[in-house]
Amino acid sequence: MNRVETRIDPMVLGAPVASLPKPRGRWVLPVAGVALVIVAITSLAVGPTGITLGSLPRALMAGIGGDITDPLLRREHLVLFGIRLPRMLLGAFVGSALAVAGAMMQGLFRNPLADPGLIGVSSGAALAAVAIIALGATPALAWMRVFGFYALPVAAFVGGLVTSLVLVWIANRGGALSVATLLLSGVAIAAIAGALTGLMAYVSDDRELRDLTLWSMGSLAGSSWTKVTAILPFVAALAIVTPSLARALNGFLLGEAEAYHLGIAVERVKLVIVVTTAAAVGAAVAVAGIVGFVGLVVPHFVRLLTGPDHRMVLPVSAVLGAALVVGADVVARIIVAPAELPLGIVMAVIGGPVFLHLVLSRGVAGAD
Amino acid sequence: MGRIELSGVTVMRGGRTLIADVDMALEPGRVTVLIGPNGAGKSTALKVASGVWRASKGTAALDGRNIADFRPRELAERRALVAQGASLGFPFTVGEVVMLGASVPGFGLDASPEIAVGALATVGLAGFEARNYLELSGGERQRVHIARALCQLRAARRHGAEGQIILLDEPTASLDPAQQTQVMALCRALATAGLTVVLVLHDLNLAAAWADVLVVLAKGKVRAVGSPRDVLTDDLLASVYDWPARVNTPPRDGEVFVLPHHARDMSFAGSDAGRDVRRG
Repeated sequence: MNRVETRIDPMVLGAPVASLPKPRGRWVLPVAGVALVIVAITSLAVGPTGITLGSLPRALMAGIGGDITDPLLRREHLVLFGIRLPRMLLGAFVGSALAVAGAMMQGLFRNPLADPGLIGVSSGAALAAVAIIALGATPALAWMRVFGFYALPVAAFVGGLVTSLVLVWIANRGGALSVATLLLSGVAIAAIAGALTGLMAYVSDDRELRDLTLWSMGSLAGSSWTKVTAILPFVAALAIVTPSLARALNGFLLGEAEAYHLGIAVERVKLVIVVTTAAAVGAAVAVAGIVGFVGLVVPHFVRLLTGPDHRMVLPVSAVLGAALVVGADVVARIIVAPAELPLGIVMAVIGGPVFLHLVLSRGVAGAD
Repeated sequence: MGRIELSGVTVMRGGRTLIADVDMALEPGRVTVLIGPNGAGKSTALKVASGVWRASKGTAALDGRNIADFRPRELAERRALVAQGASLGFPFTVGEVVMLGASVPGFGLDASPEIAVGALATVGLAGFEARNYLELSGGERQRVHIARALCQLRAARRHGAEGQIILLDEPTASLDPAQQTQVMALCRALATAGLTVVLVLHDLNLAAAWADVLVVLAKGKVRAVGSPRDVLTDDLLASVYDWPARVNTPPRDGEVFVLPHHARDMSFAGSDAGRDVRRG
């Protein structure tokens, strides 16, 4: 065994022999943006009152220059601004929040199956929101008085946060993070929260009961500017915080210890991710109920196009998540017109098969 | 610069004492190899030295300053770690994995991908940049992670970091003999370049051939420290490993090597079942 003498200094950089391949998927973000614009315009044009694509700009612009004299135009303007625009915006915000929350959770848990809906975070958020509605008269009143129309989002945020923290605690018990434990605990937590939510139905009056149904199925019906305003600060916070988490999330994919060795303040970042995710899910649940699978389908699809680098996955997921939910809502509105399907059902039809595909492919085995 | 010193370090996790009262100095410019049986506390000592685990008692210091007082970012500029069986479940390209080595905000490695390319060439994986990490063999993955650690240190060095340390936990475990030699030669070259190089190895002959300093751990305690020639003796191996082996010193180049007894007449005394079989 002769000692191999290495005269070259391995810490000195040689001349570059080649360059790294270009980052993948740079084209995806603009394409996703175009898709979102197309879906958004469709969403504005489709409904019981047909507004043709040609008259859409006119109806949008009307009112800027003072009173609208044409009665048809006035009606179209009202439909657009009173109903469809807030609904489209709400769908976009909900989709972005859920898709980004899903992508972040999957990075944190190193598991492409971690969806806020699947692992019970949405259920926890819904339970808290429903409790505010159902217990309306008594203890929730003080809460309402403090938070105004932010009462539901804040309650849902707290519910989602508590659920997330319980999950992190369960998954980290014993030092090792088990994927199976995480998913099964999530199922259990979702079941418990769902049962408690169902229990609320027995202490609710008719109007509250209708709201509860909406919560458990997920819907954008009843969208209003109030709801858009309620979710806006959460979405804005998400947009500000998320970009700074992308590198840390990449590190987390190697494992928490490895992330620490790469210079990431693991515990602090983990807390920021959990709180941000809970805020996003809470806000989405508060205005649209439980819409499942967005956080699962969108990041999975995006990773196929861009690779797993979160600096691409997070922004593209935000845009495509918005497009998916706005699009699914269009389908929900027209498929059984004049009635409309709950958004959650449309998303389950899309998301269920994708979930199954993930489970059957290397999804589960690949990240433990 | 780059001297790590553990003084009286005890680590307790989940009610168990993993290492007890360990003193250890890891010097720059040297290849220090930790050896010892499974469960001896080698990886634990490495984790304390890297800062990811805190000592329950005693201190771990880098250049005289308690490692617990370093921010993760500061430490990342000084030391890199190649973990045992590092895994990654997402379909990154090899180039992307190596670039993760410079995830530390502020390294600005994106502007200089030649560091990643160069690190891959150093571990013999030139041209692997666009390959899917998940489709690599175990040995190739292992070398990708070594390249990632190199990338981290080189990027930090470009930013002025000095006294760097590389810690490798069984880096040769899934490599063939030729690749093992390459990795050990790389470690030697890193030490020659002034880095503090610390490895955990199971292969005693690899350790004997390449180590400047051997640290023998057993049952959470340091049993011996010194050059392979001084440390590796029949008696030590028998007491530490409970394993009858003979240490040989060939006359020509003077490097010791360990020869296990493979004699067929050795009885299997591992379990009752074995005894039953032997009795026939």
